[in-house]
Amino acid sequence: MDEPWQEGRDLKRREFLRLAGTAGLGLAAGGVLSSYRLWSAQAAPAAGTPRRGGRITFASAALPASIEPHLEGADIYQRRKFLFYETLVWVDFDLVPKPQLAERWEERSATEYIFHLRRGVRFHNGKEMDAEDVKFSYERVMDPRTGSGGRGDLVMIKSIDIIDRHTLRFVLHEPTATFLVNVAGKYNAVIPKDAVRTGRELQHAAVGTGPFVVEAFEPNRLLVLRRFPDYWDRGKPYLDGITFQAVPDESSIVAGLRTGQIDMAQFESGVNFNLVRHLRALNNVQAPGIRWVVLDLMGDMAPTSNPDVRRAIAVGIDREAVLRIAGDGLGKPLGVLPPAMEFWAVPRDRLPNQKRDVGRAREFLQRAGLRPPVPLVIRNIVGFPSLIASVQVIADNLKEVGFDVRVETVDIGVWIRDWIARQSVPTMNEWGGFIDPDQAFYRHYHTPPKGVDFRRWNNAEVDRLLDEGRTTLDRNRRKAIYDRIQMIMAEDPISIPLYAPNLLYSMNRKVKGFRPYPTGFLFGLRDVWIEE
Amino acid sequence: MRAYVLRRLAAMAATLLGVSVIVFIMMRLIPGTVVEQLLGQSALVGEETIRSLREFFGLDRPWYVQYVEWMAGLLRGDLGNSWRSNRPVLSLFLSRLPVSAELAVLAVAWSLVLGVPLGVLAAVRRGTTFDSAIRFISTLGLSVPAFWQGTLLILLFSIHLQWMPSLQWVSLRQDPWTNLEIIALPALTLGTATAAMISRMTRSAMLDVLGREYIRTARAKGAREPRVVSHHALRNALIPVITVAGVQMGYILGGIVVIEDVFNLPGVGRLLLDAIFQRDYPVVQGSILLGAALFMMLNFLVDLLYAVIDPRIQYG
Amino acid sequence: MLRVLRPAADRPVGTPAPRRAPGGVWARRARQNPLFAAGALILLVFVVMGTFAPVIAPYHPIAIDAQRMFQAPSGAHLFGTDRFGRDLFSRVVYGVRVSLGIAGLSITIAALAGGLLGLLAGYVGRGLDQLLGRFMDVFFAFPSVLLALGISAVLGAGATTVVVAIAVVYTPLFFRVMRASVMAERGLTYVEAAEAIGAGAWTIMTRHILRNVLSPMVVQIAVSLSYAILIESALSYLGVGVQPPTPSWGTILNEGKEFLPISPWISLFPGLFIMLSVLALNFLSDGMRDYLDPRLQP
Repeated sequence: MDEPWQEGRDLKRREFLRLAGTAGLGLAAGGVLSSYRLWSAQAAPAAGTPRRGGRITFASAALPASIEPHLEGADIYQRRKFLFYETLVWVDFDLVPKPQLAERWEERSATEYIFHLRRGVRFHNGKEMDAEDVKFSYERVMDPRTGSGGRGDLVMIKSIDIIDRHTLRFVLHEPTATFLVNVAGKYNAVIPKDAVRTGRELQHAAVGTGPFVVEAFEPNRLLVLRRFPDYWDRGKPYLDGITFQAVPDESSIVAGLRTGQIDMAQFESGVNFNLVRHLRALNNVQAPGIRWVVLDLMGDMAPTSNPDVRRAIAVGIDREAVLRIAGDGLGKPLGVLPPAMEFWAVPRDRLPNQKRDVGRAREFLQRAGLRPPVPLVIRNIVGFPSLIASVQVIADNLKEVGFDVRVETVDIGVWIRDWIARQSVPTMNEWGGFIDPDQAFYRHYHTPPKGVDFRRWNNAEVDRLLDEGRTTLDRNRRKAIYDRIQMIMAEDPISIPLYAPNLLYSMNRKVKGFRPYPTGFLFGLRDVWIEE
Repeated sequence: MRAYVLRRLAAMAATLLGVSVIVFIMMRLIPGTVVEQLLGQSALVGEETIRSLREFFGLDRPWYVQYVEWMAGLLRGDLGNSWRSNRPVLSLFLSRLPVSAELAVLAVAWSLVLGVPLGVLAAVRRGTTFDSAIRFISTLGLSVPAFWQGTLLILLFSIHLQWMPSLQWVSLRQDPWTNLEIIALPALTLGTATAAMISRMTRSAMLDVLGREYIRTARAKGAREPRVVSHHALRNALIPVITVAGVQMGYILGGIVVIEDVFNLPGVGRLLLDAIFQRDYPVVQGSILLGAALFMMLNFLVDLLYAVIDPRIQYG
Repeated sequence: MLRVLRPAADRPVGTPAPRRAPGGVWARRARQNPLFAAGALILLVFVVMGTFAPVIAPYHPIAIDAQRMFQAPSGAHLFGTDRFGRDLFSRVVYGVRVSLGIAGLSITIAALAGGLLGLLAGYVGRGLDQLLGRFMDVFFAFPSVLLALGISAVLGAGATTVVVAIAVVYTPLFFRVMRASVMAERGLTYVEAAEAIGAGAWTIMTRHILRNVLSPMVVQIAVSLSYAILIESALSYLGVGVQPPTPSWGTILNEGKEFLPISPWISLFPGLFIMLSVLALNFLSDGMRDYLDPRLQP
């Protein structure tokens, strides 16, 4: 099937030599030719030296309604957020935690971390950042009264103590492998201690420490960033500013890229990316992303309470067809974890129940004692175009197996209400943004109260493995644990991942130095510069 | 006249009260709240997180308490702030209004410029092929879904003619030419159906008037036909036409929601649509109320305009 | 005080419709008004299409064929195929059922509800009239698309929702038409005469008034049907209407929107069908209006 880097091969013969030597090579080829070290390959610096100055206009289909640092959970926000907010540590392009506002840290024990803050870091309002601000910011996310979606990621923290103006101690309840990754989590941001009084101040104005300052924000339409001259990482960023513009109709983005009104864009739909991907004037980058389309089944609700019915569904679905039709062929079908989590993901060919086999699916149904047509309601959350397309392919696939699928469209509010009440029905969804398998699995599959297990799987073995994986610090031993979990999930598919769409970017050739980040976050814009 | 104006204003206030109740209740009947929109579908948070967010937005109190508070704010002239961006609703509305107003005015202007002459011509040449052609075309104009027409126009211009206006909104004051480039196609699209409606209305009103006795008298007195049409007939025929144009503003206001979406214009329609999807109650309630008030004022002004055009009409 | 003319209710017809000879009327009308005849013909074709959709459609409207994605119109696929490889001609033909069905059902409900309430308000008058009138005014203050959008949001997307939404939007319109007609009729001598000879209110309403206000209602129904089709498509365009894979014209059009630059036919044909059906209804209602209001006849 279509490999993410395959278009590089298309390009290779005819254009590779011609392109080689031109400044575009670093991205055009580096980005798409690499196969194993997906991210490092793009790290190869673009030919030429970065230059200060210039602004770019970045278009995408949607922009967030608020820029609240700790509350706003929209992916379209969190992708941009770390251009103006920062955390103690960040997870770099190779998914390894690296210093950010903390210039270094010590692991005194498995449950005690000392963070030494970088000196002379200023907020956008001129105030110097200190330990008080850091403590306040993390405790705000942890406080249930704040209502942050990131609270669950910080539950391992027992206390945050200030040692001195530039040193903090984090004490944990138990050893936690993902502690550093979660400190870098998407709901976190260090803000000045006195920035929030009513809790509403930061919904449309940002005071962070990041490389850019929010100059203007119009909800859902426009986000204008300006270079922060006092940024601690001297010399960075290169751009004077970035204008994020919402253009809901992606074919207008295509036109805007052609006419030069738009310098850079991210596409949600592969259709429009396919329109621009062969244009020589543009540099088109696609990279595998940590985000996937999935059909979640429910473990306590007929007919999917029967594992054989779940298996029938898993082998009844043609994941390649779903990817080709709903994902425009730009992505990877997946087993349990997306290939972009390359260290952790078990390759699909080593997992059971992956290939479509209508005969086997019918056998599973028979074994479950069900006679076709078996009624099956699948919910679709309104507002996700790839889901509505996927569910139609699934309904057609499953019809052949002997299911009678009825699609029910609901609002996101209904979906959240139902899983809280533990009443949700099989649902199409998109999951993603995880760096570590613990983030992907623990809350999802661990039985309450430690996890949510909204699919009501009640799998005691997985519970045990998840606890073990969380407290095991050795990376390779953890890998063995999560491999086992992935095998169980494929063997008894309570959640059926379908495909992981690629991240799709297009930019004019003057835009240099961009690297995609697996979760789609735009960290790469910190290093972007404009060629004369 | 004064009594009439007062009565109309009182009726408007009553209707607005009704509108406020309906919008208020309807928003709360829509499944999901701002809390779920804020969290997103991938936030597997605990119940207490949701509870504190509900408290944060005041959603934990009974709806009538919320309504009374909203009303109390209204009476103080405070429409509240957006729940998502914390901007005052009034300033959000007013910042978006010029876009929608410009769109609406241009659409009506365009539909009058196109519709009235066509209607007059069709009436004067009643029964000819010309008449039939105009009737056919105007019926066709009524039948094209506006969003479809808009989408096709965008396709034609951007893909086939390689022309596209600025993607970023530029106001009339900043740069009139760029502004007109942006708004031309949307106004054209929005005005098509209205133009068709107006040409049809003009035609029938003209036919009605042309058959009247005073026109025959004018003709009998030897007035030349163009003068009869322009001086005697058109003036009287315009009355119902203006009514239609005024009432069409209602259609246009509804159409604005769709057209602003199609053409990505930052007007009131987009504001409202976004707010509905995000369950941003204060913004939805405030802008619908303001929109309805504007709409009713317009209708009222149209009625008053009658009196100006036709001195026989007196309000009492 | 002046009663504002609404376009929908324009010219509440005061004069009872003239009786006409039963035979040959349609033929004569067709000659006199070819547009009316064309409208009737188009609608007839659509009704036949909808009724015999399973016979006419060469493929199943929701059967996916991953080997035939995005095929341009051809002999095998008259209107081409969509991203799922579904035959668009079959979808559009089945779409007749969905789109015209929704329009027909919703307007029937609106006409019955609005008509009945209007009849009551117009005949009883006074307090009831005031109350109902105010209530309907409130709904009138919303632009129709917006009101329909709100109702769809409350009820959740789907075909039933669209029917309810359109019915609610159009009930006030029928209320006004009916009320205006009843008021006009009430003042006429024959109603007064009937009252004088002691006929009951119900008898008067049903026998006399209803018979004479039917014509403006019929015209209004035809006009509203055309708007209903447009609103259904607009709701589907905004994503809150009929949900895929159910083939309503608006839904097909919306699904094709994304692919306009590469496969324009997906949106083109349902758009044309929407336009044709609205056009036909407009011709039909124009024809009826001309017929009922002889002053305007050419």
